[in-house]
Amino acid sequence: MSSDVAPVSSPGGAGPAVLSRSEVRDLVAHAVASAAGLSLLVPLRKEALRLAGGDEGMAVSVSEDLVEVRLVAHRLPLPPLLERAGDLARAALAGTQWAVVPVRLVVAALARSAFDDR
Amino acid sequence: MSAAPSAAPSAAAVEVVLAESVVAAVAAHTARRTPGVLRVETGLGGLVQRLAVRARHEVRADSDDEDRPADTGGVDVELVGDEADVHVFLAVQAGVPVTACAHEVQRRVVESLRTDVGLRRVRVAVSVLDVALGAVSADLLGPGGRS
Repeated sequence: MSSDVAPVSSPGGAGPAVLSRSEVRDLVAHAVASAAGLSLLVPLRKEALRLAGGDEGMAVSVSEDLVEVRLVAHRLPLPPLLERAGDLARAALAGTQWAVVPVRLVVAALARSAFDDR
Repeated sequence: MSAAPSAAPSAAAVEVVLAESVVAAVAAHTARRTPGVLRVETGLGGLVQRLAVRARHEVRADSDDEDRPADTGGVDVELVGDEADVHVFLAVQAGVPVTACAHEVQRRVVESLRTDVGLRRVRVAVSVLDVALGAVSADLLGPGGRS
């Protein structure tokens, strides 16, 4: 069973900030949720848990070799939205032990509102 | 969820994965907006698909109607990386040249999937399942209003 905190090696002094996976999950979720035209995908079955407070992290999975974010798009075109979301995720991970881990953005749904101005 | 990676992951890279339903929604909307198209033919299979998509998309229960997933019925998508095979099923308005309408749908869907979704390679097949009376758009009518 893997621990919640990924191993860190910091040769030569100050290394990356040591964060738990749940902290990284919340960090990335908060950053990507601020991207215009995108929202985090929140499963219906988790709705009850949302009422208990904070569901954004459920849209983000963090492992030692991948950070995955599941999204709903509310605007088109997608490429600039996703580029922005990727930048925000990378910026959130900068300075942590996940700074060099690939980020995967999964566009799981397109909302009807994406076609509002079309 | 049906999805395919658009690029191989690499260190510090950002990989984008699209659900096939996202591609289908854009294709369906584009086809529906093409002059001469009466409707995108969802059919029974499409209805089941739409219900499945709605269930899978797991959108918040308290979301507005506009936040519901866009319709994907009437479009089949096979997505591999950033390449897509798309099949659109249509009903065309009576009086509209069917072949010209189908070609226009092909052209518009390819363009929208490249521009709006970012797909690199798109192949679009169009099947016209019905020709029926409806509000006729003049765009594709020939001279004198007849095909």
